[in-house]
Amino acid sequence: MAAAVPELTSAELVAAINKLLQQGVFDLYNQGGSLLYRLKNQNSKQAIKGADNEEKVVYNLIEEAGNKGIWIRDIRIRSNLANTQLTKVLKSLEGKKVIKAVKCVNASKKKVYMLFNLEPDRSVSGGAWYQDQDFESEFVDILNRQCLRFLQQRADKIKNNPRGPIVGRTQSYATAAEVQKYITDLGISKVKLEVEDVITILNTLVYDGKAESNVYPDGNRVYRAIESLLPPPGLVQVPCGVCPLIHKCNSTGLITPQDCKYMDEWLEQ
Amino acid sequence: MAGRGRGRGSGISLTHEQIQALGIARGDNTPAILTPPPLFPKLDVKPLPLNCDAATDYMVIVKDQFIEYLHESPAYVKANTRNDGIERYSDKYKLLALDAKKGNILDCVWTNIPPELRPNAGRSRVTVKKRKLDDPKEIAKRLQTLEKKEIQDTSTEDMETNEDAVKKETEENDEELEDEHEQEEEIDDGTDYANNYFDNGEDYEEEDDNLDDGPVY
Amino acid sequence: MSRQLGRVVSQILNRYFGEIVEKVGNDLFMYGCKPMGMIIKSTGLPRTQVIESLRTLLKFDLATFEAKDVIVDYKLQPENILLLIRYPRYLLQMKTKYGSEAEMLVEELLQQASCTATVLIVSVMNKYKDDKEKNLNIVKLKDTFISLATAGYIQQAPVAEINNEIPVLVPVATIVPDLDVRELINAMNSNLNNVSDNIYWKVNYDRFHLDFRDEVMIKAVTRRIDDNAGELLKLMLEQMYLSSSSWASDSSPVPLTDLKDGCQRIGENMKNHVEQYLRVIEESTGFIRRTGDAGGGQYSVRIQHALIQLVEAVCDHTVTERLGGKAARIFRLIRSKKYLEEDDIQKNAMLPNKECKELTYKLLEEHFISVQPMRKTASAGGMAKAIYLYHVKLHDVAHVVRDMCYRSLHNVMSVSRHRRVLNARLLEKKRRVRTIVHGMRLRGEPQQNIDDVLDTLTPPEVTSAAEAERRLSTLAASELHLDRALFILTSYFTYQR
Repeated sequence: MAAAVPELTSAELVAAINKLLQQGVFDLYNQGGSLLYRLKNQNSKQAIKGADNEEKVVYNLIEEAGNKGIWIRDIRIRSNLANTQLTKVLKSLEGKKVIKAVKCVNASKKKVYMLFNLEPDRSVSGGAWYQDQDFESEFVDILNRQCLRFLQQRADKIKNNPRGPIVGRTQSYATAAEVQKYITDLGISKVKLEVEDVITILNTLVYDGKAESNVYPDGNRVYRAIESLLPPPGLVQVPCGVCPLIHKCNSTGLITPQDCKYMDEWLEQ
Repeated sequence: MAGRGRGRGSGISLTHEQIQALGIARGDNTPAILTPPPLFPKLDVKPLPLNCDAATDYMVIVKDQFIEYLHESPAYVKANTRNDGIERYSDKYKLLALDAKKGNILDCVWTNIPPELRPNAGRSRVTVKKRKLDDPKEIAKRLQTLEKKEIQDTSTEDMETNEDAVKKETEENDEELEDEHEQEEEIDDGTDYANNYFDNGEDYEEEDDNLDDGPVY
Repeated sequence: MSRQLGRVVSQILNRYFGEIVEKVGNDLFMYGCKPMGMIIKSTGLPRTQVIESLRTLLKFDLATFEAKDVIVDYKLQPENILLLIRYPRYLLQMKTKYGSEAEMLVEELLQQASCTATVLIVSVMNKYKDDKEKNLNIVKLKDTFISLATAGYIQQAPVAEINNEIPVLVPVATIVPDLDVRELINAMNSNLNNVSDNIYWKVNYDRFHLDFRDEVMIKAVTRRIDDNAGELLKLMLEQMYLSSSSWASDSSPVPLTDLKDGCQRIGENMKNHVEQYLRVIEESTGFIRRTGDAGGGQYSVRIQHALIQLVEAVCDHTVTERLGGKAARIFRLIRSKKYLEEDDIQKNAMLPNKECKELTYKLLEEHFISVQPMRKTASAGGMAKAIYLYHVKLHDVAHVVRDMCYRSLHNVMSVSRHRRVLNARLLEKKRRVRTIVHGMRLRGEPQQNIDDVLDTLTPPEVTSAAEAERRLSTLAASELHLDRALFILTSYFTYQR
């Protein structure tokens, strides 16, 4: 093995092999005291070789689907296999660790099959925001806050900038790539966040009304932290504005302004 | 028939054994105390703090002053004081305060409001009195012209309206003699006066009333 | 007209003019339009009291009348009744913009509802002539009156056309009067009834509202960009008054060159970067728009568009505080995408499926968003499922929020009324003591006597009266803040008709 890739030191080689093993790209065999490595894909192909026709057909369909996977119903239709037979075939392939079933985030009950060694596509796994198909909303919230903090640090650059408001605004703007770097440097994310992921988060800030976005001539999206046009209106400074019972409150009856507990609490402050 | 039998069967309540078999222990079906949900559930959110600055403080003061001014002015319409039979120490002051305001009528640009609201419309007695004292001659003259006008206006209509005008004159002249009772009648009159235009069929009776009133004059 | 408006109008009439006027007002609100006889019948009030109430309502422009043959129909003006809450703001505006003379004149005019220039000036003069601090002089008052009339804060009252027994009020164009100081002094020293002045004046609310509208817009731009941007918008609004009608939805375009002249005074930074500021305001708020290239660029102020943005901000805050930031995110997301399917809401808002559905439902329940089912076309035959598109109808949401403001205003006022009744005895006592002490101080009576009077209030009474007063002024302050929100909503609606 060392002879096959002479440009690597043995230490590097060991590290690389270990990594590949971990990822399950190869299998390791001990043959007569010396270690042999074999690429797994070929191995699985070989596993198929010994298999029956049905398995081969199903395997080919799944392989074709790539990392987006294929739905069991589509396999059935295209393979023309009976339901029970197909289940048996899939079970057998799964048992050989040739294919795997992945839950799809879009439809919780939908399962798709793909080759065992493939990383599911974002559309299936949900990308960085999903851990085992569960949406990690806390993670999203943290990122949302951190992105905002980053934007806010430079938001004041626009104010009375001696070089004019356009330069000032440019200094307030942050590109998604900049934000991505900031987040990566913070080290709060276990998974690698792509620029696209960061854009998704930055857009939530726009929907929160806490940022505005613009597109640079080069097509890059930029973001700037902003204030709401108005301070909170009087309506939300009185209990009624936040009161869950406001539509049940009347001049007479059990819920009246005079007997309102919320009003009392508020006035006692 | 068979159907009925089955129905009866299902209607029978379960025996103790059966209930126990279902996993319901004795006393389970009388839960402790069921309280209704609180009328005002605990709020997760509080209203934002009211911003109080100098400007707001100023406006609050100005607002109170304005309301106080209105309350002192005749624009604030007070009910006739009704005695509830309990004498109170404060009554004296209340009466004094009320007396001070009596006779005060709202200062309006009279030409800009409908005649029926004007002090000399013959409907609001207190104010008529006051004006009459001011200048009886002028008032009388004015009334006469008004009266003529009214007669002209309504002469094409039925006799009743004429009667009404005559009656008005009656009131003007005799107003010093009128008492509480008659004032109430006057109020009723007012209602009917307007109703005449809707012709609610009370006209005949109304006419009779007025004829009866005649001899008083 | 909404039921909530009726409730709040009723509270206001009660607070300002008492129960009887309130009753008459309610009756008119319910029936829209009716003659006096009918009011007497349905309210059961004595005729004299109905007459007095109608006088009050007419005097303060809270109702109008119209002659139908010989019957007079009265009609309530709920919008004007709401303005009573705004009076303090008018006075604050006068005080800050024109000083205390203007404040006194407008205050007097609001109290009188309408009066002649002579009566107005003389009564202000008489009221404060003993007040050394104010240091009033009649010339200054007269000049202030003239400038207020010139600026349009006060205007000539409509006059009665007397072709008929029942007058018809016709608006007249205001002519700024030429007041003679000597005549004013004469009037001061003689009986006011002998004065020949017969031109009546009243406060022009609309002029104040323009100020308020401008102020809100300028503050918004300042918050979003910086002070310079605010100043620039102010300048553009001033220009707008010269060339367009003041409530136009878009001002007529102003060339850049004209703006540059005005920008000189704002400051160095502004002078060099006018065009940049214009661009940033346009892109960041949409309050202005570049409409053409002539004269170095033509710019107009988009009032209607600005008010839409402002109302959106009011709605956003309301949703945020009522249903939380996540709901507000969904609300804004739907608004910015116009129409959105449920799946897309979840994807873009980055919320867990269940929470997202729950919040969407709550938004729907409180009428902040609406849903429109769309039947998919026959692509997959009759089996096709309908898709549901969520969207925001701003006009409807603004109605919802305005109704909430009415409700809140009503509730705040009714709590205030309730608390005033509860503490009536105490507050009245305190008021009386205060009046007596004030009188004693003026007469220069010895401190000992004053203290004796003050001691009639026991310490617990003093504390609880102070507490009660504090709560009442909290409630009063919230009325004023609610009115500010109502102002933005109402201004928005003027453009929606």
